[in-house]
Amino acid sequence: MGKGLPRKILIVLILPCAVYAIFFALQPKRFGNLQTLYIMFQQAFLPSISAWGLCFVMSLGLYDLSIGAIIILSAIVGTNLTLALGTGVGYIWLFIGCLATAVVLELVNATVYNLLKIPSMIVTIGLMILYETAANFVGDAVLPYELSIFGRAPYNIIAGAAALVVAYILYNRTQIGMQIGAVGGSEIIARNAGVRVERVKMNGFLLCGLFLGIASFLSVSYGGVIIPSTRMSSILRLFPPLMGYFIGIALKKVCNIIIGIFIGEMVIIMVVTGMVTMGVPTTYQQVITGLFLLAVVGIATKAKTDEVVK
Amino acid sequence: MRGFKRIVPYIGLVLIIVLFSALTGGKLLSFRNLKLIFNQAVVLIIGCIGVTFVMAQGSLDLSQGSLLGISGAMAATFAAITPGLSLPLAILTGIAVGMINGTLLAFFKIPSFIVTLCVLFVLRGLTVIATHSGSIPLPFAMLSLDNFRIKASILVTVILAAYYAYTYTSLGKNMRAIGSGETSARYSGVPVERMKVLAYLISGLLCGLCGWLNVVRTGAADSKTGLLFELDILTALVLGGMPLTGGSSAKLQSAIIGGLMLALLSNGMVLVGIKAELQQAVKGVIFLLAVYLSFERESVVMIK
Amino acid sequence: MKQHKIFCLVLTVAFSLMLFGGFSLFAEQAPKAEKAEKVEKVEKAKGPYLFGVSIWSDSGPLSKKVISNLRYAAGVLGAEVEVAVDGFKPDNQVSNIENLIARGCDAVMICNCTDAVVPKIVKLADEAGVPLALYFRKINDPEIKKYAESSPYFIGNVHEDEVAVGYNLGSALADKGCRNAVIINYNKGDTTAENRYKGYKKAFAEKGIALLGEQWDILDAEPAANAAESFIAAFPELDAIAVGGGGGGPLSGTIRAVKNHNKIGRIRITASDFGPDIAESLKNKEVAAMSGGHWTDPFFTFILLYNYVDGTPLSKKVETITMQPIYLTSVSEAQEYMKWCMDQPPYNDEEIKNMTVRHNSSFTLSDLRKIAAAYSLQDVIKRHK
Repeated sequence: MGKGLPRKILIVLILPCAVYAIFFALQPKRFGNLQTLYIMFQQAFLPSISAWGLCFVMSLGLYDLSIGAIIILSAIVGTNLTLALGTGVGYIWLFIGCLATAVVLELVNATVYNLLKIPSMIVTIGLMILYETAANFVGDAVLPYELSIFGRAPYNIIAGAAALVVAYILYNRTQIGMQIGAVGGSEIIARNAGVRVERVKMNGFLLCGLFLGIASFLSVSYGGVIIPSTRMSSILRLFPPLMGYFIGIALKKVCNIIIGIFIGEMVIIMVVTGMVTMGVPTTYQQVITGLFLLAVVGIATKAKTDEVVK
Repeated sequence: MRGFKRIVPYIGLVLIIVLFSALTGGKLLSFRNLKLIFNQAVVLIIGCIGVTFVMAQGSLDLSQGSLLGISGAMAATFAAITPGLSLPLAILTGIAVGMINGTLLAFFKIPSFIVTLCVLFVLRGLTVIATHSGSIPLPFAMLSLDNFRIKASILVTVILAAYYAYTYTSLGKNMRAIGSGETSARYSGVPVERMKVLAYLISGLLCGLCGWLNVVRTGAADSKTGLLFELDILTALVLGGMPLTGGSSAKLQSAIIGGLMLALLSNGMVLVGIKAELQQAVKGVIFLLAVYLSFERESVVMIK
Repeated sequence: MKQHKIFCLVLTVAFSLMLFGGFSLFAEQAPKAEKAEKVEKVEKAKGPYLFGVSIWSDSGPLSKKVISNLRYAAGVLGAEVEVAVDGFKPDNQVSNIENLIARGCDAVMICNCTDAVVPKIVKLADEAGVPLALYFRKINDPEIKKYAESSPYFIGNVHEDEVAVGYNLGSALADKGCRNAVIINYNKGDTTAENRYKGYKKAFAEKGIALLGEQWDILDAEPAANAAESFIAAFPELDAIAVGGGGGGPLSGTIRAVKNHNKIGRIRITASDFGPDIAESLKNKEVAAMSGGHWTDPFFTFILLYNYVDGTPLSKKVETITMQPIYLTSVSEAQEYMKWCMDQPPYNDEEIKNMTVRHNSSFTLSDLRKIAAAYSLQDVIKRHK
C-alpha cells in the first residue's frame, strides 16, 4: 500500500467521476444537484449489503443463487414476527427476526452443501425453489410506517455504514476473512496447510446470511411491502448485488473489494438514475447497463493469454 | 459405484414415469399425452444439447433465455415479410450472439458467468425493443408448421448430428479435453480459443433454432418469451447428470434425459392434480435428490 | 476427416429432405396433419366439473385472490378448479392449456399474455372440443378476434376498460390541481399496463398535465421507491406520481418514498391494483385515488363457462362482458372494502347459485351483464348489509 496509495485512489475515483461528469454534462439541471447525489448514495447501500454478503461466498469460489429468496423469506418472517410480538421497539424484533431467519437459511444452504457434496450452484437453485414456496405459504410482509425508520435517512445511512465497517473488518482483519481468502485462492493449498475447509465454507455462508439479514431488514423498511415471488423469479433480486460484485472484482487490483463493491453499486445507480432523468426508455436502460458492465469488466480484466478462464 | 451413478438419471426418468403413470392411472403414457410431452420437451432438449458443448468445457451459458426471446422476435419480424426468412434469421441471430459470447470469453478473458449474464440483460432489452414492447404475431398459416413430423425430424437430426460431433469427432474430444484440464489440453495442441468460440456458436445456433420452434409453437414472439429459460436448461442438464465442471464425464445423454424429465414432471404434476403452489417444491426436492445420487464426486477434485 | 465430411453432408441432405418433406406434406394434406397434432381431451369418469385455470402467478395479492375466489365459487357449485401457473410466457401458456386439457378439464380459462398467443390456444381448445374463455383480457387485433370468434369453442371474455381506468385516475390527478406527473408502471409490453398508460396519457394531454418521465418493469416495492426518489430529486416541480399496477408492491414503495422526502400533500399518487395495505395508503391522503378489486372478473368468466359446461349456455355467440373496477378515495371506503369484499366473498352462495341456469332457470346473459356492470363497493354493501 503506502506509496501507491494516492495513485490507486485516483484510479478508483476515475470511474464514478467519469460517469457523473457525463450525465452532469448531459443533464446539468436534473442530475447535478446535491439531493440527487445524496439519494443515489443512500440507494447504493441496499444492493451493496447483499453484495458484501455474496462476496464471502463468491470469494470461496462458490455461488449462492438463493439470496433473493432468502431476503424475501427473511423479511416476511421478520415482519410477521414483529406484528405478532407487538410494537413499541418493533424494529428491534424486526431486525432480530430478519437476521435470525437469514442466518438459519444460510446455515441450511451450507449444511446441505457440505452434506450432499454437490456443487453450490445446484444446491442453491434447489433450495431457492423451496424457500420461495415457503415464503408464498407464509404470506406477504407489510410493515407499518412507524416501524420503518431504518428505511429513511439518516438511519439507513447509519445502518449501511455500520454494515460497511463490519464487512470491511470481517473480510480483511479477522481470521475468518483470511481463511476465506486462502480457501478461495487455492482450496488444495489451504487444505494442505491445515485449514478446515468445510468449516471455512460454513463460515462464508453464515456471514453471507448475516448481511442478507441486514439487507432484508433494510429492504422491508425501505419499501414497506415484500411480496413473495415464485417459479425462480426471486433470482431477479440477485442481479443488482451481482453487478456491483462484478465491478468490485474488476477494481480489485486498485481497491479493496468491499469498498469496490460500494463504488460499483454507486456507479450502476448513477447510470440508471442518469438515464431516468434523461428520459431514456427503460428497455434501453437494460441494454446500456448490460453493455456498460461488460465494458468495465472487459477493460479491467487483463488475463494472460494462457490463463484459464471459465 | 461409478457405474451406478452413471445410470441414476436413467433410473430417475424411469421412476418418474412409473410413479406418475401409476398416479394417473396410465393417463401419462397414453399416446396422446406422450406426444404432448414430446411437444413440450423439444425446445428444451435442443437448447440443452447446445449448452452441453459449452458445459463440456466447464463454462456456463446463461444467455439462453434472452437469446430465445430475441431470435424468436427476429423470426416473427421476418416471417411477416416472407415466412421463408424466419428460420434462417433466427439461426443467424443465434450464431451472432454465440460468436460474441465466445469471443468475449476466449479472447477478452472475461469469465463466462459474467459474459453470458451481461449478454442476458442486453438481449432482454433488445427483445423488448424488437417486439415493440409487446408481441409480434406470426402469420396464421405458419401455426401449422407446429407439426409433429417437422419437429421430430428436426430433433432427430439435431440429436444425431450432435451425438456424432460430440462423441466421434475431434471437436467433441477437444471440448471435453478443455473441461478436464485446459492447460494440459493447450499443451497437447488443442486450439483452446477456437474451440471455446465454436462451442458458444453451436449453443447459439441451436438456441436460435429453439427460438424459431418456440415462435411457431405459440404463434407469438413476446417480450417475455424465454424469461428464465436459462435456468430451465441448467436444471434439466443437471437433472440429466451433467457435471458443472465439464470434462470426460459430460455426456450428451444428459441433455435428452434432463429435458424429458422436466417436461414429464411439469405434465405429470398437472395430470395428478398437485396444487399449483406445491408443484415447485416437489420439483426442488426431486432436483436435489437426483443430483445428490448422480453426482460423481470422485472425478471432481474440488466441489465448488 | 473425409468420412466426417461425408457424414455431415448426408446429415444435411437428410435434414433438408425431412424438413421440406414435412413442409410439403403439410401443404398437401393439411387436414390430416392437423388431426395428428390434436390434443384430445381425456374422457374421465363422471364426477364434478373440472375447470382449468392458467394464471400468471400463484403469489401476490391479485393472483392469490383470483385463485381463492374461483375455488370458492367452484366449491359452491360443486365443481373443482385446477390451477396452472404460466408466468405470462407464451410457451408456458400453450403448455398449460395442453396439460389442463389432457388432465380432463371440462373447460379452460386463461389470462393471455398477448393477443398473438390466442390463435394457438383457440386451436388447442377447438381440436379438443373444450370450451375456452379469457379473463382480464379483450382481443384488440381485429384479425385475431375474427379468428377466435370463428371457433365454436371460444365462449368469450371478461375485461375491464383499462384505458378508462387510466383516464379516470389521470383526471383525478388533474382535479387535485396537479400539473407535472411521472408514471411508474410494471411490465413494458403487458396489455393491461399499456392500456392504463394510454388512458393516463390521454387524460394528461386533455387536462394539461406534463408527463415528465416514466419508468417501467417495476414489480417490487424497493425499485419503485428508488424510481420515485430519483424522480423527486430530478424534478423539483413534480406533483403527481401515477402507479400503473404491479400488485400493490410498487404503490407501497412509492408512498414510502414520498413520505420519506416529506412531500405528502405536495405530490399526489394514484394507483391501480390494491396492495396488501390499502388503508395505510389512504390514511393521510397520500393516495388521491386508486382502483382495484377487479379480481372478481375471472369469476364472471367462470360463470360463463359453468353454464356452458352444464349444458345451458347463456349465449350461442361469443360474448364480451365489461366490468368496472372499484375506486377508493378514503380510509373509510377502504375499511368498507376490506369488510365487505375481502373478508367475505362479494357474491354469497345463494347469489352464485342464482347465476346458473341449473339453480335459476330464468337466468340470462343480460342478467349476468347487469350484475357485472353493477359491481362496485356500494353494490356489494347494498346486497349484503
